[in-house]
Amino acid sequence: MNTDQSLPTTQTKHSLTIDWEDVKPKSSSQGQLMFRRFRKHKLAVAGLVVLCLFYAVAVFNGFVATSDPAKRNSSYVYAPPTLPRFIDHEGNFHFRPFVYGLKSRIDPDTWERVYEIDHEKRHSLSLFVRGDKYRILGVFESDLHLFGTADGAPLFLLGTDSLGRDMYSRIVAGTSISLTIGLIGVFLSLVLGLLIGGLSGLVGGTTDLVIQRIIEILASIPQIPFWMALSATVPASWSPVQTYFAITIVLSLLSWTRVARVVRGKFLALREADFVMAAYAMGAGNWWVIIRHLIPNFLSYVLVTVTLTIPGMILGETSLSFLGIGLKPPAISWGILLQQAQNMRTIALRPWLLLPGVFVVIAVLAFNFVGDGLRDAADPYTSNRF
Amino acid sequence: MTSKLLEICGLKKYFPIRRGLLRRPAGYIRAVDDVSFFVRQGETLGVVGESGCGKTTMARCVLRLIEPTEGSISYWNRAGEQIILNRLNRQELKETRRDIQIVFQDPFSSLDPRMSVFDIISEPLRLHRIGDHRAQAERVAELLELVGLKAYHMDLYPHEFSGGQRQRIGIARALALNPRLVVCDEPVSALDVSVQAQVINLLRDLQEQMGLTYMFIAHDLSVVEHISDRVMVMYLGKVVEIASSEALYLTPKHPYTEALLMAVPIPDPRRKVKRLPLEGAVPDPSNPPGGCSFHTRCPYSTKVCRTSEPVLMELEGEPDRFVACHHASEITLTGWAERLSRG
Repeated sequence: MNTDQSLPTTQTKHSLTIDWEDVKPKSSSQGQLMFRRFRKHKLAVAGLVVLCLFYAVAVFNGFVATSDPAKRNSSYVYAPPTLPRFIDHEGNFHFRPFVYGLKSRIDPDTWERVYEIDHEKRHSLSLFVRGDKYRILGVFESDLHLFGTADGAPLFLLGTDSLGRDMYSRIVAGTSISLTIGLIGVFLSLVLGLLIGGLSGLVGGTTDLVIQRIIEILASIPQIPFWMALSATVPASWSPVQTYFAITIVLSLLSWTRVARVVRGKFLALREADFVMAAYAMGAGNWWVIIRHLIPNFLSYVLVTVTLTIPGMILGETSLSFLGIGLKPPAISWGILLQQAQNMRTIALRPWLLLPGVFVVIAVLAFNFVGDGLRDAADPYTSNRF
Repeated sequence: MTSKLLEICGLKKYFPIRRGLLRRPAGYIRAVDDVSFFVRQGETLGVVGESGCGKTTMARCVLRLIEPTEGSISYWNRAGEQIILNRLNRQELKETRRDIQIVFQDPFSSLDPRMSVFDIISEPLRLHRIGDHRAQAERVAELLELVGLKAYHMDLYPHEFSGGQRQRIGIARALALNPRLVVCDEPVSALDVSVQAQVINLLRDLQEQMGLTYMFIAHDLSVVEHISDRVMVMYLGKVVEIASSEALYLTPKHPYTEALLMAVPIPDPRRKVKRLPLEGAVPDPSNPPGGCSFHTRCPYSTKVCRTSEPVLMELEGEPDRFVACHHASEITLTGWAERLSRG
């Protein structure tokens, strides 16, 4: 063995001193963590996207609709949906989507009006066309529509109803009432729930006992008869706006109980937490504890409950209007639109009148997905996957 | 002998057991039942006893987190005036609370998860409106260094720390107002053994630096013995023995103290340990046994123990040593003496 050979040495060019200020860990608050967990929940994110779209439509419904939702077309009563197509009846491809016109005739046996596609009339669709006038949020007047037929011919994407009104435009118009009634109703029940639940959790004792029994009684009342009784008291002479708010209040009278229960439960649990005890030991008063500790800690749970309460409200409005005791025409909501689908004949012959129901289902599912996602994000240890 | 800082006289806390629709009290849990003791300025008083013997309830009464049913809690402030804590109004109480702080057992529940470390430690400063934001940040940095953390930790959130670090944050918060008395409610029992020692040493160092007085609650005698000057043993809401930590360890006078000492594990797997088994369970505190409350489990009990209740008395010839046992001066506690003699 060659002993002359020098031993290998490890040469370090850089001294290994760590500046701890540089490796300072990045911190994230509970809110940021919650957002990160929410983003991992694919269905919830999809639900959120759908909801954003729906609410955008609710605000800009006149722009998204193709015609005035109240406009009647006596020559197109119960017209079936005409979906846009790219390939014509001869098999030629058209770069621009188009619809065929409809021609109607009376069936000699049943005396019913039957529609047939008129291959002679081809109306191509284009974006940003001028059409019926509308107002956005009741203020800005415009006649620009997202899309429509280039030549101004009537377009019935989802068919028409008994008066020949365009169902697509009516569903779009119904979005604003059907989706906002949930929001406003939930806001009311949030206020009621926070106040009553907070009182119950904070004061405790007999107050708590009485409030809890009231909640139990309210929760055991069958919803539909209760709502029916209350909406029956709304005077028929009220304007659509007044009726709208009356129905909102009716809906929130039952749904605040869920929020109240969550708030009370959290109040009771957090009041015993050591960090609340520590705050009292430092000399904090009740308000300090409520504002600095209790509310920030249960807000996310309230948010979850609220998100999961909205679909109930949307369904409530739909049920009431469907039964004819909620909002009344000429107001347009999904429930009112569904009134036309109350008999077998309609469902058998004119299934497109059920389409508003599909939108109700989509909106309710989206809210539920978002609510589930928020719940898992707010409380990763009680995930609800089964 | 230094002066008293805290004196508790005849403290009782009864929790009503409510039953039925009208929630009438059907009985009472005697969590703390006629407890009297004092804490001297600058010392550490250890409080031991098994779970449910009223240690935590007693501590919370001292801090007035719960209102005692009966009894008085006196505190001598910096000016040497005696203050009866449970007769203060809200404003006076808030002032006095600057002097008495608490460190909690559970490092997870004791820090608000929504607050950053800065918010947590500066909360007492903000509550008492001490200093502006910058002064508070400086104080928080100082406190963090004091408890062995780094100043930059103030931007982080509790979930980013280990149990031991969280407990350090809890200690920093308790020290923010420069208190005189810190009640440590089982501050290490939720921690790993290796971390326990670190936290206890930190508490000792802080005591030296800041001249703190501790009331140190634990259910583990070995921990308490290490840090305390005097130890108070509680059983079923009552004090059974108070002695200097050395005297208690060498010559326990109450049979329950002996049983506790025998239960301390010895970290040597080859060593066979004779235990003094305590028979039965802790009696129901809503229905304590008559006479001496320990007589149901006491291996030395006699007739008198079943009929009359012993009072906590200073032992003859041994000042500063209180025992509540009829036979304190007669019996020799054989089990522990034997174990000590074997080394």
